[in-house]
Amino acid sequence: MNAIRIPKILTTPQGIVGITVLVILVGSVVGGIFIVPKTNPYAENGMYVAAPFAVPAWASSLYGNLPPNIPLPSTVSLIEDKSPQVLSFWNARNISIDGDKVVFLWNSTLGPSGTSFTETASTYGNSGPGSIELIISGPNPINVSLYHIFNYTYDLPGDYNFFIMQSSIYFQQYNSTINYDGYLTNPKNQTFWMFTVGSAAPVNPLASSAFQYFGPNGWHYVLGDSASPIYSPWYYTSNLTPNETSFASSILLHSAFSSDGAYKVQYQIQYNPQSSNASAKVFLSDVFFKFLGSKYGLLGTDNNGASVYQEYVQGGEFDLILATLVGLMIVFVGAGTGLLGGYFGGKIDQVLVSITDFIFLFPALALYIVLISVFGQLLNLTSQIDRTILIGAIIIVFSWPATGRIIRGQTYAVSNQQFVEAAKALGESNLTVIRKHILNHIFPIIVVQIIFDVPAVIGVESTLDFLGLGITGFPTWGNMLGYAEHYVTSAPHYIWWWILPPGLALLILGIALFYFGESLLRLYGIQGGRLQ
Amino acid sequence: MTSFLSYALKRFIDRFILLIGLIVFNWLLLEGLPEAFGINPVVWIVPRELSHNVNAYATQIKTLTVLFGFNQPLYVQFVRYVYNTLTFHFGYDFLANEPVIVEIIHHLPYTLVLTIPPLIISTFLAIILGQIAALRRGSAVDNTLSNYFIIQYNIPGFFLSFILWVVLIVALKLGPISDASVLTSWNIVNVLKAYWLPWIIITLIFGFPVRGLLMRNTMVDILDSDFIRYERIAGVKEGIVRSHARQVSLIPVVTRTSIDLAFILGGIFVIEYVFGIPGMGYLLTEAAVKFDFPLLVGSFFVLTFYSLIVLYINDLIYPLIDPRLKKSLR
Amino acid sequence: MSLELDRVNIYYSLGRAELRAVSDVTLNVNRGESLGIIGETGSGKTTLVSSIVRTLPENARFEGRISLDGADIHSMPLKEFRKNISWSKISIIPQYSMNALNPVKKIGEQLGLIASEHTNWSTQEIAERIYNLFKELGLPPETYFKLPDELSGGQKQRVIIASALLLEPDVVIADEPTTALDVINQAKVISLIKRSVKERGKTMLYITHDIAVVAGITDKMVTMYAGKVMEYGSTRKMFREPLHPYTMLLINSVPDIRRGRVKKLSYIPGEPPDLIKREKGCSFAKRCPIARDICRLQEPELKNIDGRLVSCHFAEETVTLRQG
Ligand SMILES: Nc1ncnc2c1ncn2[C@@H]1O[C@H](COP(=O)(O)OP(=O)(O)OP(=O)(O)O)[C@@H](O)[C@H]1O
Ligand code: SF4
Ligand SMILES: [Mg+2]
Repeated sequence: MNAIRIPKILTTPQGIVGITVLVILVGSVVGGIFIVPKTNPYAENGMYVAAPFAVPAWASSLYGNLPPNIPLPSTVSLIEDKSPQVLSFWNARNISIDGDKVVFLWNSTLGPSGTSFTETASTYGNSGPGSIELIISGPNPINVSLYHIFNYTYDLPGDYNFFIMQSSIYFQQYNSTINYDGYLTNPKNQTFWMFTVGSAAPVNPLASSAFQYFGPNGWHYVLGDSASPIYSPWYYTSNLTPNETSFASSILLHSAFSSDGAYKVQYQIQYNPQSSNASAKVFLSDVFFKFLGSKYGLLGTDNNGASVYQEYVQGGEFDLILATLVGLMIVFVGAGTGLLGGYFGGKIDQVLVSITDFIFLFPALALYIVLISVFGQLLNLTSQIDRTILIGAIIIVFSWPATGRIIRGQTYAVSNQQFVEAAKALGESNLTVIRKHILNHIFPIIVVQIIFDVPAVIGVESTLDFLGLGITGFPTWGNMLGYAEHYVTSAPHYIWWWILPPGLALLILGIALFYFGESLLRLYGIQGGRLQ
Repeated sequence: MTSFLSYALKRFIDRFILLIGLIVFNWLLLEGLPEAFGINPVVWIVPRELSHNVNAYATQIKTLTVLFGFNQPLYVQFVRYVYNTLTFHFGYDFLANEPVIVEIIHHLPYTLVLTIPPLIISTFLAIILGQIAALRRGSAVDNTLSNYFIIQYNIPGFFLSFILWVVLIVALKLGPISDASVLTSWNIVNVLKAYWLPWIIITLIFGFPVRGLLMRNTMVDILDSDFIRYERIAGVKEGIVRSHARQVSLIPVVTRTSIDLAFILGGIFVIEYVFGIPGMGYLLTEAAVKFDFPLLVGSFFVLTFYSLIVLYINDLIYPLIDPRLKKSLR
Repeated sequence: MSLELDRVNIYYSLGRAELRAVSDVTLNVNRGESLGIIGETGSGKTTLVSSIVRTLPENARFEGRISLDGADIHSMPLKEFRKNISWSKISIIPQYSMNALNPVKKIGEQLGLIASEHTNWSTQEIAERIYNLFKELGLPPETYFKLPDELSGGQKQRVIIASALLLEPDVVIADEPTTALDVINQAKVISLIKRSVKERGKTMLYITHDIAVVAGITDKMVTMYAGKVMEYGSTRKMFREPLHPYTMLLINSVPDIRRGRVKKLSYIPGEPPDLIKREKGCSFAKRCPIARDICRLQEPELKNIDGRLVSCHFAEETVTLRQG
């Protein structure tokens, strides 16, 4: 027999279907690798690309006119102030009134760094050189506003939408104080106070609990959002009754977004001179407002507003790589011992048989669970990488004997055939016989074993992840389903966009590889597929 | 009969060696390896919460070290461990603070009720469907059934459990979200309410497709085999010929089922997890999550010990199922 | 009173292609006569007898007529055939005798079932009949309670012979009954068949590729090549004076023990033709040592020479050759 010729597989219908499905599936993962960001969707910097449980954009019309993400500004260069156009976006205009003078400039060298900003997929900070510069001088207090108006023409927000309002600020003051407030004004002309920071206590005493002191000469990051209104001054000025306060964020969202129309986002600098020759310089960067929408991308978002497609791609990449490596190792070790056992018989063979007997005794999943816990604890494995290696190693150690047995049987059959006897009689060395005659014969079986082992490994690993006993720190198809399980009872629309992609991928991968392997077996006339 | 006894004894010795292997394996996991790593295994069986109170923790460690004999030579520890295991004494579950065996006995019935009925149903179903497919080999019915078996075999069990739970329980509300909530007493209505879907799922995922396909493939081979051909030429009625074919085809299926029976307790983690059934799978998963090592290794031992016993019973029954094996007894 | 095959053709479909396994075979065996069917492997012997007992595979297509005592047994309903003809009139000792028994049923039970399908004998009578046959065939009575795996190859073969004789059929077909046995058992079984079948006056069809066997036990014989009859006639005549080159070569390859010397043991060089392709001329032409141009162009007809049927252009010449 000759080495495997894959194209021949294309002559069997199962082979064609199997390969096509496989190519599409792997393509959806590999293609995605180039598109999705490298951030980890399970870590904060991968979360909140949209509101939690956002539905896939293409399916959103089923659920009405759902609001999309509304980012202001909408391009990253503008958000990070790395473009002077940001001045006009936020309607910055020079002013001269009553002896006060406000000048807006574009400063390309100074920019935020070193602030206590936490990164999510919808927040920006510490973005480096580039900022809006305001020079204010004059004897009278003055409020300088940056604002932008956007239209909201969608269904009113649901339970999971929220909005954020953020910016970085740096100021220098000369005989003056600077305060910085954020407001959202809705079409009914109600104004919601989102944050208040600065170097002087706020004028409104109710808001003082939410006030954050920012000193001059340093970059600061400020964030107000409707997810945690307790940090927003609105909470203290809105007269909520005590039993409403625990729903404050939801009340904020729904009272702010209570109708269609024009909304105004306003960032306000309050300049308070203490002498006639007072002045101040203010630098603003990362000025950004975002309404997190209920529809997003190809596959929507999870409970943290992380992109499900990103999780699907990263999970698939991990699963496929792990399963291929582990599958290869299983077959490498299994085929090695199987060959030796089948060819030489005797001691090696007996040892192989005893090991398999012993391992077949254990309920596999229970064994994996116990070993992973015990060794995880023993070796004190904390990093996800170490854990992955542990899981891979355990699966290899307890899976190779099955493969070994199959290869052993086949080797045994082949080595008793005439041409092998003949080769031995002709004085060829054992190594040559194995390489030239036996390996040649069982090569297709080895290939098929790999094909069968890959989905088996993915199955086991995914089950562990699903139960929360395997990988938890980054996406895998198994743990995507595991996490989805926690939310499916409460989340909208049974989060089908989160459950189906990894589930169907696992299913299709298994079936496609199975048919592919079976058709290879048939092609090479090997008896007994996996199910026999 | 004497030949059977000597066979039974021989298999018993084989299985007993495996049992010893299992105990050594567990001992290594729980005590041998930690000590090799320089860890006093006691830290694993002292409740973690105690570690906030330094003094209480230290005393506890000291008492338990002496109590469990971890200060004694390894071989003494080992002998003691073997003794304890064989008397089903696995120490105390430090969460419920009860002997581990009590916990296990409490949880085991949930799993038995979960697994035994589906095993029986799925076996019959597999035999019937496999036979139908074999008798209509090559027809649309056969193709549909064979491909269904293959697809069913390849559907990850946890995905099927999960998706059916979402659709039928969460969305259509055809059962309780968590079965534990209705399984507070063993009355028939509650059991049906809690178990109807898990039963269906286990019927489908646990060994069913393998047995079905095995039945089909064996019976196809048998129907083609010489003795069936001979019976037909000899004018034996088709009904009887088929029943003979079925009878012989059943042998591998029954063998396979009895192996499945041995491992059925290991196949329940996902379903108990999804449906909230407080059985052995749930217990073991919980133990793993909470690092409750006595409980973890104790339930693992019980699961494996059970397989071992069923496997031994299988050894004894095979010659009865397959008369051909009688010859090999001699 | 005879078994007659009239222009039997049997085709196997192999996907798109069709293979002609048996071509235009006409034979007739009278009551009490025995006929040997000889041919190399693949020459269609099993296919031919399968059509008699109606066990052709599903992909086979049958043309022609087979009659027993004048009744067309190939077109009667299969059910009726199984009930009234199978085993009670025609029984077979199949080529696969070693595997013909149900592995999980006791021998007695199996034979008993067959008997009760065709007769209304009591269990008692059936058992007696079986024991008698066992005795006659040299099988120990315990055989009745044994499973097939507990018997030796020779014993299984005897059980199958017993089964074939169970209902005293008119015709017994033996399809290479000895191939799976060692030499000593072969000889024993052959003499057993001779004794128990032939000497009971049954009509017998004995199929083999070993021409030596037929010499002793058959009255007539037919040599088959590529599904066709090459020569058909009295066994004695054909052995003494084969007319067809194929028969000659087959006989040549037999060690002639009776004459005390061993003839050169030659096998016939070459391969049987591909039955899918339909070639012109004599199908034996490629391997025939005396083939001439006409052999490759024109298929010889069956000619009646010396009371035999021979399919060879030069049959007469071989006669004169010998006589000359
Ligand atoms: N079911 C089948 N489908 C297709 N071809 C078949 C089938 N059975 C037999 N054949 C072919 O028909 C031809 C005759 O086969 P048959 O078994 O009748 O030969 P035979 O003379 O009995 O040979 P042997 O001595 O080996 O038993 C052979 O070429 C064989 O390959
Ligand atoms: S017809 Fe020609 S080829 Fe055929 S057997 Fe006679 S001599 Fe040989
Ligand atoms: Mg034959």
